Amino acid sequence: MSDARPSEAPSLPAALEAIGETFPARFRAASSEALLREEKAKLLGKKGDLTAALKIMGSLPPADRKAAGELVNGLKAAIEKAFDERLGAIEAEALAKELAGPAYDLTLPSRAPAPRGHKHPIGIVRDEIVDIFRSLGFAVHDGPEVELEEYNFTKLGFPPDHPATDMQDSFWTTGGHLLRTHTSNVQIRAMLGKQPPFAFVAPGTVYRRDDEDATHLPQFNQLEGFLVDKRVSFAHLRGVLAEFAERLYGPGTTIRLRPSYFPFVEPGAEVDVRCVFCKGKGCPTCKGTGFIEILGCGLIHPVVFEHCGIDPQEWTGFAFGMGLERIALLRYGIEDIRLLVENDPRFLSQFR
Amino acid sequence: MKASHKWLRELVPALPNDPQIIKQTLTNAGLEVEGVHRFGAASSSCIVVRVESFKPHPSRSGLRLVTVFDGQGTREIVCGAPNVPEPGGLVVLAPLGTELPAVNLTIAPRAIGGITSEGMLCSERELGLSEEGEGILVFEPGFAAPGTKLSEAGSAFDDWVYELSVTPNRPDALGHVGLARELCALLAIPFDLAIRNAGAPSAGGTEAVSVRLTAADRCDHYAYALLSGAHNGPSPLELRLRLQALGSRSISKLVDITNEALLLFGHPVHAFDRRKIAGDGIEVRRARAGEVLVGLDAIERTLVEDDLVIADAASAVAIAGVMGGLGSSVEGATTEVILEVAVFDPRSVRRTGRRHAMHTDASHRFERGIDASDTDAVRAWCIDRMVSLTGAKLVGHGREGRAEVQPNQVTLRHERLELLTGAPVPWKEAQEILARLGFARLSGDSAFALFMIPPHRPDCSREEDLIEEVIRVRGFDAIPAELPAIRPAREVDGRERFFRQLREAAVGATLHEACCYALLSPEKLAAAKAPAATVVLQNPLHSERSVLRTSLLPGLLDNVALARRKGERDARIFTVGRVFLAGEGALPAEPMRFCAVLAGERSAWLTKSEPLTVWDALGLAEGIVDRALGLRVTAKPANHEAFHPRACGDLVVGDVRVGSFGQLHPHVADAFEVGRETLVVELDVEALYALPARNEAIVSLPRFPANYRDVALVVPETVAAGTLAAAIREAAGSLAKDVVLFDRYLGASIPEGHASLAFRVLYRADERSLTDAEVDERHGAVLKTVHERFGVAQRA
Ligand SMILES: [Zn+2]
Repeated sequence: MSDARPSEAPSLPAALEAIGETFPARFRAASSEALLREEKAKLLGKKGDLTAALKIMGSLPPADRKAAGELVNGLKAAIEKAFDERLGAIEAEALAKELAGPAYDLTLPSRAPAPRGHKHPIGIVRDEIVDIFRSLGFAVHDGPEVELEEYNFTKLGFPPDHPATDMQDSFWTTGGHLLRTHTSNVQIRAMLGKQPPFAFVAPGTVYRRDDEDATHLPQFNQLEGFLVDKRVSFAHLRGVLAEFAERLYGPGTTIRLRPSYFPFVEPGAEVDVRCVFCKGKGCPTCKGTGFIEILGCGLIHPVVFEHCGIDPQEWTGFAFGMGLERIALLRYGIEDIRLLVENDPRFLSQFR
Repeated sequence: MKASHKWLRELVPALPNDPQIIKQTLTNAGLEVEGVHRFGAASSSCIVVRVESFKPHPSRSGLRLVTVFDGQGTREIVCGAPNVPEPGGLVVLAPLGTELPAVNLTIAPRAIGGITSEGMLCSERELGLSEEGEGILVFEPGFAAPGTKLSEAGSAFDDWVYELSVTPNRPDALGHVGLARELCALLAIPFDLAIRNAGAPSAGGTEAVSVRLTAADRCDHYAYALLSGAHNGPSPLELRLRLQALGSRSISKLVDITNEALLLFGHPVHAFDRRKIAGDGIEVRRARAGEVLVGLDAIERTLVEDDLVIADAASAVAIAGVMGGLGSSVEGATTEVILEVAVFDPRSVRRTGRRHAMHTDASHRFERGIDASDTDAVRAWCIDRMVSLTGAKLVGHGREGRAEVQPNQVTLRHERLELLTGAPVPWKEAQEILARLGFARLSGDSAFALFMIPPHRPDCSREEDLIEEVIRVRGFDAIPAELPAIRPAREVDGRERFFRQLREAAVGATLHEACCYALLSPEKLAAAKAPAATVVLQNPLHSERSVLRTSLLPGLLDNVALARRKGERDARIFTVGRVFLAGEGALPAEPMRFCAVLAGERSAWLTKSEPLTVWDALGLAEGIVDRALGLRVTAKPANHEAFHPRACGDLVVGDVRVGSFGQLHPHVADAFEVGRETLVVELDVEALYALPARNEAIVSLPRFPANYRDVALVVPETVAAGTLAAAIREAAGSLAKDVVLFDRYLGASIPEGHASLAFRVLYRADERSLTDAEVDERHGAVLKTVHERFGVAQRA
């Protein structure tokens, strides 16, 4: 039909009339956008029916051309309009069909951008505790893990050849030093040759010669804290620890202090928090006592100040130290401490 | 330390009879009672019965039918014990229904060979009194009336035993006298024990041995007593059971009395068999190097000069304050005794004990420091006890060295007490507390007081010690909680924050944080191709944990291997921690490192997972450094032993090397039994921390549109894409704002050993719009350059 020759062609009006009569049906018959566009191309395309008809127009006498032109433009507009309407209808139909289709299978596995990572429970607890003390005005201080005996024991007031060192059985290096048995060495590192005030916390790894079992590791983590200023008292120690306990374990958490002994503090105390699981009523976690021991503390022994060149009559202070493993085990109900160093991904992925 | 409730109350009858009150009182004062156990729990339900007659069991050999009288009637008991006494002898019956917790048994009616026993005759073991289970417990006729409850037949048959955890500063609490004194002070009960006040014997013979204290710095006080004609032998039941309850094995009267003295006074004493002592003198001296002594434990030890010994004319007979020698020890046949009550230097005893791996009840007390003022009282008590239990006679006594101990004096200021407490403390109350604890007030006024330190408190020597006593006894509840006004400190450096940023960046980049052992074996380090350890332990627990790590990699690989053995092959873990390298001073350097290990596959959605590639490791490193620092890290080819030679690179920021990454070397992977496709990222945290701060000023947004042109090149695989990209960028000049490789294809249509690489070049000028012609011209130069430099043409 695109190859129609003028000599054999019908008259223009007749040709246009034929197109005008057939296109609505052809559009209606087009069931998809693609088919519709195909039909439209057959009418208006380079080789389309209407285009072919227009070619006839060139052979018309000039007088007829204007009328013919209006006829053609009218038809063209009608075709475009019908096309738009039909296209709209097809799209609406397709959308309606798409909307009415079966629901997606939402039981298929989700498609996360990437699996998320998790902090280690010790890292979580350490960060949280450091933040609490930072907000109270303490800053973080660091110290070495391989330490001089002098800084780990002697300057902290451990008497030579005294059973107090049995409380902390040490690993010795072939170089004659030791792996620090507590983060208390940071007290010496921070104070030696410097002048107060001091307000530091020192998280870190420590080592004791304990065989690995469900409740012991030869390597674990502590957090030390100490405050030195004029007129620091035991009441202040109690105040800071009470505030800490409430921030870590929630408002209303109370603490209890019992006298104890650490060579570098005097008076020394162990601190229990009211059991967060039973609120003090007694449960298996607190062994029925209603309290859980979480840290040791005391006023800094004057001998420690003297060893650091600080006058204990002018300055006083307190220190405390806590085991992070213990706090993490209690919080997460971990029954075997070895899980903390095995780092099984299925374990690690359970923490926030 | 175990303590007997009954014994404490024998010493001070005014002490409360409720074990829970004693427990709380001691614990609240810092002498922690970890447990209170019932000794002889069955004693109150068992009764003493008299044997009336017995005959063999009719059908069971070895068993007997024993008729006993329980005070009201007779019962027939089936008994298998070999030592049923003749009629008239007394034994202990557990009637039906009795619980015997020591052997986890409840007596129920049970037919044995057709005969039902009306209870059970008990051994000491079954009664929970001792380990003696060979035969039943038998008493002499007249011990108690048949029908008497065992608990009422003697005081030793039931008791409460305290398990005390005594801190090393309180040697005074390692004896019943000291505990009683402490309880009296805490409960405000007067304390005055007659046995504490005994002096030297006023009579008792004229025999003597010479005592020479050759090492006066180790032992300056040695008292002794000589006893003769002792009838040694098994201790009476009460003494045996008391020792048993306190965890001490009964040996013989003489030995048991020395152990009893130790438990009573906390002051170890020793008894020698005088007949086994050569010559007539005793010397307390340093050991001769190489001198050999066989101890009571039958172990032979070679001594060194730092050890202190008791020696006779011939050789060492005891290690002073630690253990007696076997050769001079008291035996059942011993009749002549030298009793030693001495004071040994704590440090000397401790060094010797540790050197020879000996920890005894005696050394435990001497190394903490004993009350040196009580030698007379202890000796007098032991003499009394030996005389009355063995029938021995005191034939001589003596002492060498200082008689009087010079007490310390310490001033306590009321103002200092209140300053350290942080609250008012009534001055009168404070002084009363110290007086109750045995600190005698010598002088003072409303502001201060001078106190004498009692000899049983070697831990107290300065004002703060007295303040601790006052605070401890008053209780911590008497101190209010007060938040101090803290003068904020500055971080000594910001490293903790930086470590945290890095950890959080790694977590954000999908990794799990691990917490690894720093202690491992040299073999593990070698297997991970890490530097040899510089910190080696003298006394490791075992060889697996004998050095400190020089690399974080082996620890993580161990974790991955363990998870793999447990069935988890996918691991994405990292750790931030110290490694221990040779340092400049006495101590090692402890730089911080970061290491991540990826194992397993990269999961895809509902289709086959893809193997992880070295580009995953690079992407991870980029992501972490970007998240933590906002810096761009790039890869540079490198060669590290731990990594696959074909898949290994350094990570650089600018020209600073900040780490490395790669696929694990197959040798390393195999050594740790992890998958060969395991990937590693290592970051030098110290290098990252030292990087200059990022320029935080922003770059203006482009105001003019960009034009893109693509170029696809077929090149030999040996030509690095990065090299091509750099060449393209250079050729494209300053108008090229970005060159991105967006397609890499190896396949059928590409010649063997070649790759098709397609780059997109982004052209843009900052101040104007570029025309197509301009861009085409630039891009033409790019094509020409790559053709000339690499001999390749643009792919059709
Ligand atoms: Zn609880």
